[in-house]
Amino acid sequence: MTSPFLERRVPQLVDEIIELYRAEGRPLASHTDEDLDARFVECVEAYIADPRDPARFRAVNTTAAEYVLRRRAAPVAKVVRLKRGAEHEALNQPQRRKLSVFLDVPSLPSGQDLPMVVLAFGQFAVIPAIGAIAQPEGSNGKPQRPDSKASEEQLQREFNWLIGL
Amino acid sequence: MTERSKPASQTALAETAAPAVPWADMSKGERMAYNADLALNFTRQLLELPFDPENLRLLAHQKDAALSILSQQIRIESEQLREPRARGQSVQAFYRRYEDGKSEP
Repeated sequence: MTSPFLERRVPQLVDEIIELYRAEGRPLASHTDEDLDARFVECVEAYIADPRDPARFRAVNTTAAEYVLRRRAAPVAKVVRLKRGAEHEALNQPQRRKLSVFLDVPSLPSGQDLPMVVLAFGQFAVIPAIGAIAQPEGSNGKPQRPDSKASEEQLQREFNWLIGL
Repeated sequence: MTERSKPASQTALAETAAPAVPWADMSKGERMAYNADLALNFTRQLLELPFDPENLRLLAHQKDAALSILSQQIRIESEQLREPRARGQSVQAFYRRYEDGKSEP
């Protein structure tokens, strides 16, 4: 079972991000793979610290575009809160704020793999390869909740936009 | 020409009788809708006038109206066929709205 979100919406978002990135002249092309990995973690952590700063989520998407063009997987495990387990303890870094996955979308069948990157749009992030929608953790380790009716409505609008409604 | 257009004008009067709400009390949306109705009626009447190749001025108006309508119709149909992102849900539009400080898609 697959979802229209992963079949259509996410590929559209990826395509457009690549289009914008190419239009900017592929600014990260000269980075080594190691530099790109370091930049990825840095950008996502900066985004988590302030997800409503457009420069920060744009930077995440710019980095994602370079990974897609290189057909490489970003080190997503370093920025996502993993499920508890001994093998993940070293990576989980409870002292750091990470992306908290709150929705797993049914993945595509093999052969139609989506990139292992993070796409960020305001208060929501997507990891296409695993069909995950995530939110940045707040200072209490949980996704930040809206504190007013207006911010709740805005959160809902952003989510609707993300899933293409 | 006058003879031909007379019945059309009468139809126009019948179909665009004074609005139920006075103009001054209408909202901008209601005024737009009312004017659009008038424009649609007028265009329909123009296109329904008998084809007269000797009346070049009328023919030019009919041709302009017909081409304009075709062009609008093509735009509407293309828009309907487009994917959601092209209907204003694009990433670029999302960025722009955020950067403009509205921070809402």
